[in-house]
Amino acid sequence: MPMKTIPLSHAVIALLAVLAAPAYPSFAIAATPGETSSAAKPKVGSPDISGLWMPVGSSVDPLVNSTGADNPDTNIGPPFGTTPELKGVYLESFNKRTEALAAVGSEFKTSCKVLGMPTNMIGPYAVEIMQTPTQINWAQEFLRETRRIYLDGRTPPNPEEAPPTFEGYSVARWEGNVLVVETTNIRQETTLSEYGLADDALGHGPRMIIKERIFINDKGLLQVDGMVEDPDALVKPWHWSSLTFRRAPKGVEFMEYVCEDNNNESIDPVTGAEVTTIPERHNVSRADNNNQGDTK
Amino acid sequence: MNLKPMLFSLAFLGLSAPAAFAHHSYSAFDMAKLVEIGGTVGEVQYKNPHVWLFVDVQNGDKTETWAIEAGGPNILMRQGWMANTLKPGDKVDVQLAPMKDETKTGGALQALRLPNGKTIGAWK
Repeated sequence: MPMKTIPLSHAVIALLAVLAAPAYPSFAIAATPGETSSAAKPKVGSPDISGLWMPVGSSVDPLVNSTGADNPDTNIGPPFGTTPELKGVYLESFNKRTEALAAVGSEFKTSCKVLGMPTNMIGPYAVEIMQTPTQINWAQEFLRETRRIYLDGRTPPNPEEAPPTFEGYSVARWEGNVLVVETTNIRQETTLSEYGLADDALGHGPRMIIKERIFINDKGLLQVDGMVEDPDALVKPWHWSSLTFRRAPKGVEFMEYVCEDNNNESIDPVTGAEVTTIPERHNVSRADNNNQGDTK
Repeated sequence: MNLKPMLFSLAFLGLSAPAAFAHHSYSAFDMAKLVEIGGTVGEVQYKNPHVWLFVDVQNGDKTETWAIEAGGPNILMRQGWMANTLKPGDKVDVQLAPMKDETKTGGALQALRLPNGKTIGAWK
């Protein structure tokens, strides 16, 4: 068979670009829970970030040509660009997950379950933002996750009374053209910089706060700078590399995504390996095989 | 002969390229290999989370069906592959990463050349 090698230059360049772009934002003026009730009054003339946005470099980015099952160079590297420094039982939990995945050659555990915060922010599909003076909804097509960000001065509920959620509880205020968001009350199954859940609910600590600064940058991209504070699980606050989103081309609309519709990926209960099952063909195949290795 | 299984080796890398960011990790596929086929569309299952394309390939006096997994409609519609773009009987060329289980003629779609010449994904 003819053999051909494929240069990796693009992949290497993309990887280097990801690694070289931390550009930590300043969180010195980020909101604190005590400030939000007085500072969150909607301002007239706040930027309009509503509309449909495509994660830059994802398979739905208009500048990327992808089958969705290939390896676009632009998807290389940790999606958050940086990794947090975990400690204690949270580090042990992380190591256990990654070792189990490595043992079966998987990079993450396939699932149709919502991934929650902060992983929702690196969802690969379109984001639709609905904005009012008192509330912003951030809807990610992938796994149908929606964040609700409140700007009316309310404070998060007592987690002893109202159990934490995957998306957590987000309160925000405008600081000039920057939406300053704080998210707390997040279920501990969500993980930091991984692409999956922690079944043992040790993905992060109970006191985790995600601080984000969301704005339209000088390239017209929606930019989300994020910092995670978690005194229980992190050695030091974790800054992720800036996430950017491009406005969707005119005419492109939000789409429904039902992961359970035609899901052919599962986890082998014995080995933990990911299994892809070829779906049954509906029309009569005239072929001499039916993809499954048997002859009929 | 329409079957042109060309196995491109990426083994020199020493590792597989990271999988596309999707709802699973493609570990059932050998993402370091590339098989090229030309054939006739047998069926398209245009659903999330993944579209499956069945291509019938003539191999001598035998016909083989390849089952090929692509991304979901949320990706493909935006690339120009709509639900009605491909119909049974259409001629297509496909580059795929084969399943590790070699008893199955299945793969992950790396690139698709539509009858109108448009390519979805990067043809290598």
